[in-house]
Amino acid sequence: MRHLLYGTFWIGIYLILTTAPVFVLLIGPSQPGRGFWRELSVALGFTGLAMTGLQFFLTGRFRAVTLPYGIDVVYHFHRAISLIAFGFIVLHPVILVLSYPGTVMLLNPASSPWWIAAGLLAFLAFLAVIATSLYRIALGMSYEVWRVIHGVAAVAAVALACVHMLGVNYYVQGHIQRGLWIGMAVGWMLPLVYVRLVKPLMMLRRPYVVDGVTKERGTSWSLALRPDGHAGVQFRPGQFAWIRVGKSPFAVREHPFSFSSSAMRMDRVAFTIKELGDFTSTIGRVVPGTRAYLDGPHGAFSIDRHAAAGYVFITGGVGIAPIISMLRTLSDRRDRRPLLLFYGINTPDEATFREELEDLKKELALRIVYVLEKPVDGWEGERGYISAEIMARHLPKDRTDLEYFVCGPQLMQHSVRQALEMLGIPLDRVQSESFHFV
Amino acid sequence: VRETYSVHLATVTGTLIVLLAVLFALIQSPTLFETTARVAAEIPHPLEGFKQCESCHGLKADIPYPIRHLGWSIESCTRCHAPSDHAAAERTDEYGRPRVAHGGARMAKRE
Repeated sequence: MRHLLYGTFWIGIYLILTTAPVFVLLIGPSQPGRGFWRELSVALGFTGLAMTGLQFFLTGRFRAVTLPYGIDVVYHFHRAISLIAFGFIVLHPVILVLSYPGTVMLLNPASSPWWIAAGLLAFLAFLAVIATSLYRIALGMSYEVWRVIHGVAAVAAVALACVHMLGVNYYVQGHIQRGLWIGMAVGWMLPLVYVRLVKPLMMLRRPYVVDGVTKERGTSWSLALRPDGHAGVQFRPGQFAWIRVGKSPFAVREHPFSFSSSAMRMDRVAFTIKELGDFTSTIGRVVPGTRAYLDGPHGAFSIDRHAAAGYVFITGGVGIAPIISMLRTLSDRRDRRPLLLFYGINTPDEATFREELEDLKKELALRIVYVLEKPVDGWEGERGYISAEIMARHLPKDRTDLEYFVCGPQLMQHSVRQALEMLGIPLDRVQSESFHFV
Repeated sequence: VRETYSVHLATVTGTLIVLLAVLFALIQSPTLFETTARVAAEIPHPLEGFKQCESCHGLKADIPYPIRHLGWSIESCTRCHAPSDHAAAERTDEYGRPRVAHGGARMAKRE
């Protein structure tokens, strides 16, 4: 309920910040209207600019903003609202030209003032932001290159659009209006300063050192970090952090990984990372003693946010990392609530934390159902993929009272959600996080 | 589901913003289809003999244009501003003869 209230509050704030400054343009001796469609075009231009400027806040990873929704929802919202804002920015000149075709002649940079060129360049910069985000992989662009282009083009787009707005100088002639929009433009850049400068400086004062790198089953590695000169980070089991290993906290290259250690231990945190061919394949070569930096914790995928009579964990592959963090935490808390783990893997040898999971069964009221995709000879357990039939065989009668945590590949998450729906589990009892943005 | 929720949230927010943008436009111009009306000020004099707009309407001239017009080329002026009907009627006299396109006294002063 509290999160719902916070969520509604932030959407209200967002609406006010995007539209109120447009209505401020009408305060005092405002300019006369110039036809409905032209004014609609102008209003869409202003709101499109305000929405784009606010994107810097959405991606600033501010916990107050992300906590009610979960950071993945905020990032997906950022992505969706960007497309809508871009739609407004496209509509701004289109409506202008359609309602008054002569305007198209004014778009010629050769005969128009510099601020028309600024508007055109802002549009191209917005286009670059959107196109590289939607088609990064098709363009063969690495994540790091995309991130630099994304940041630079976004700042350029907002700055040039402000220049365009001030150059047109129709609605921002008044001191209040001009001051407000210039102030807002400066304000939009503050999250950027915070994320790129203040936060790394804070991280610099809270370094970690690599305490150990352990090979796990399933071509995974556990990277343990020890706080160096501070108390460490307090997190909820199931959350994640962006980590930089062997690099400055100002480096562009950072990677989000789930905590796999118990939330009850701040003196030594661990992340379990599967080798996927990119940066993750270098984890095994990280030398103990290497300096690392953490930006976190983030995320809403945690048992601590969802009190229940018991929990069901459904995972595949390295999705076990946040689950083992929750199980370790529950063990440290001596929790006796019933727990059920569905663990989809190829073979028993690939079951990351297999031995520890067996040990945890002794300390927790935990049942584990392995579902093997490639069962070995003599395997009498479940086989194939985690399905409604398999879950129905193992879930207790009071299954609708339990809270479900799903973590794994996108396809698995999707099929498990469908299966749970078939079993009559309300979807608000099913928790998951999705991090496929670009 | 979380991605769908985000998209729904963004769609609802975007729709509300569009409605508020429409409200802004309605406050400023309540009539929906007055878009064909030429909104730029009309030129109150004939154009013949006055091709160099800046001579009279440059920032330092007698009747300067607003400062926000700075930067537009001379060719751009008539893309938005057209002579008024009154000015067009003034091009000929009651006998259909072309009028002198400017006040004689002013031209004499310039000479």
